Amino acid sequence: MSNSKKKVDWYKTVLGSRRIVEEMVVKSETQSNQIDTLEIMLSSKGSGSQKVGTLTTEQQVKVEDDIRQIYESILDDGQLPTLETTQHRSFVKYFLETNLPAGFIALDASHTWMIFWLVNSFLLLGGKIDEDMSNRISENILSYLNEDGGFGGGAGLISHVVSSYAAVMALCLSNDHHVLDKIDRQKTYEWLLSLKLEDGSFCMYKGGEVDTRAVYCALVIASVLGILTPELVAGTAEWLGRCQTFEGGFGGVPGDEAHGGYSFCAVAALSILGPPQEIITRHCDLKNLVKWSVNRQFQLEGGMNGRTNKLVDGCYSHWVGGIFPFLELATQCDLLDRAALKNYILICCQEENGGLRDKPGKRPDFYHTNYVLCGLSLCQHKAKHDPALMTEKLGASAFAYRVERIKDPQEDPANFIEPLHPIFGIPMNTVLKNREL
Amino acid sequence: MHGVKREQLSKDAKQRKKERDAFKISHYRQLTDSVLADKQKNIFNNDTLDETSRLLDLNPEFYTVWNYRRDIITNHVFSNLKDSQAAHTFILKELQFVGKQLKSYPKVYWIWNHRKWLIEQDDLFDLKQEMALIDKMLTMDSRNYHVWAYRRYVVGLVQDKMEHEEDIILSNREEFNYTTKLIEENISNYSAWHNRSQLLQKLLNSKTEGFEDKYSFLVKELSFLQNAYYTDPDDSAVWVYLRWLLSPFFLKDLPQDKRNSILNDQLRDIKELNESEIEDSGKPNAWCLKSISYVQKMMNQHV
Repeated sequence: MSNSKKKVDWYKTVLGSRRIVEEMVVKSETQSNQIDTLEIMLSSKGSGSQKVGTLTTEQQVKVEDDIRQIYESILDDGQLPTLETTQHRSFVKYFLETNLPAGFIALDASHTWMIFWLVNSFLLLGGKIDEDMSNRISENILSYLNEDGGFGGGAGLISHVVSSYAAVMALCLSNDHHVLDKIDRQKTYEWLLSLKLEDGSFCMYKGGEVDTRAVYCALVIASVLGILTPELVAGTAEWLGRCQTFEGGFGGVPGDEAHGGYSFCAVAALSILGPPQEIITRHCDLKNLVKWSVNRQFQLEGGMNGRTNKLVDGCYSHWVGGIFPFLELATQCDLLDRAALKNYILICCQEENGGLRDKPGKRPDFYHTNYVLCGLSLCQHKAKHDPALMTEKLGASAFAYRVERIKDPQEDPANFIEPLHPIFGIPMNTVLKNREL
Repeated sequence: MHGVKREQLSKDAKQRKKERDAFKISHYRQLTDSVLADKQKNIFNNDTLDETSRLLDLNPEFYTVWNYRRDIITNHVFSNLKDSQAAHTFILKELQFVGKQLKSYPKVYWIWNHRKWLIEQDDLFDLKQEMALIDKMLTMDSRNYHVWAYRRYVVGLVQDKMEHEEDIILSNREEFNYTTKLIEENISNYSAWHNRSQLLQKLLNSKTEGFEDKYSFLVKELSFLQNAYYTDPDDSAVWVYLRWLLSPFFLKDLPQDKRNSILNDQLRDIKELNESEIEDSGKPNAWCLKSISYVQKMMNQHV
């Protein structure tokens, strides 16, 4: 007998009122799987690291205590929070439409990112972009396009691969089907090629740093704009393979420690170059990658961390969670505890007044709002890779995904969120829209 | 949902904040416009250098301005200096500026990038001094990803300048010992374990004392590790590292008897630890169980 069923029976004896009990049954039935999962999560002893009081273990124990308390109170109420879609949408919309306060000065070189995070969140939440917003997106973003074919992080700023990724993605999100044609593809191609290094990697800008983020962003841009050539990616997959550590994840560059963000970038970049089931095994140790990735999910918290012995953080729901669609395709196994991650996101990452966050006690921000929502989308969907959708063209594999909602009669429709493209990190329909051209 | 409820600002306070904000923003905007306009016109002089300092103080994440600053230094400062001593003096001052920024913003890519570029420009720079800064920053945050990457980079520079193989080995040994020290301070510091894994691969190839062959190294390293997992059997870092030490990378070159003796010893010790965990808490330890099954797999693999 499931625990929620036991609960219902118990309520029946205590309350004796048929109507109330029936209401509860309905509520419980839709949530019983999540509640059961929560009970399992709570049965975990957590890290248990109390034998030596290092700073690391103290911080971990503090987070566990906080979260355990929150989960226990949810279990006592017997009611799980749902996704506060309206609140989050107004949080996002407010910041899309208002002038930002001085506290945002540090993000002044990240305009393309702010637009991307906010608009992407808005669409994932089922928001519809009207013509005015669409125009504002493309006008703003195109004003950051430089003569050399790259985008700066804001007006007058030099071209930067990571800002350009956010810019191109934001343009895909606008309603304008032809907006990508405003980019001179030849120029962008030459600019990307100028950032390519001999070992197969890419740098952020001339003289800028090199890491798997730069590779991922360069490949996404080239893929979406249809300018991916063998010359552009010569040696790139091999270089990415060298970033895998003995632990199984990927560092930013060969020799660095395995890290969630860099790992997503490496695996997603590889998956632009071929179907995950082939390309991952060809360039890295799949088994080790699986082991490292599953170890990122906490039993008690349900959420994920980005490195061994670091704290849970909602954004890794995407950076680490986002690796799983590729791993599940490559192994044909279910590897992620989606119900546990969903509990972490819905219970711990939602801010009362809208916006999503790293963990309880932290403030919501644009970055976390987007990546936590991406993680929630992941919990509700499963990616399929359809060879029938592939052509011989380099990079065609990236466009051969179908993302389907996992059929779960217990899922509260209030929690529904749009399906996400596993490589690009934007809603599936925005990718398809730009692809039809 | 369960966040800390924020205090609502009073109406007056809100208004005052708005005014302060407006002032800050307009000041920042003016400075930004001026710097970007000067950059557009390629103006490289002391005034523009100062201007970038002021702007970077306000927004250290302004990568374009770091880039412009670099151009000013190359095209103006360096071209007006008489010799490398003068360049050295300038760079030390510039490093101070960067150091101050790093203290407040230790995770900003562009600042690290600027620092790397600076020390590459200075032939007279004492890299030992840089190691002192890195040590200090790792004391502040022993998991800072940027600092670890930078440490490996600076050590690489130091070793590039070394002429004798023995010096490079010695330097790697010092780095290896540094990870020992950090792990002894905090066994959960996985960044230290990771760096150790990088260093020992270099040392193993160099046939230096204690690393002559994989067997004698493994015996020593496993006893170090054993201390760690007895200290905190729930710490994942230690187990992840153990699994690697018992992977084919190490075991494949060992004669069968030595390989068996290592695996047998580990199996015995981990089982013993697990028993004591059961005695303590009534439950087996998950990491022990996983490791036992792994060691058994490695034993069978060979048979």
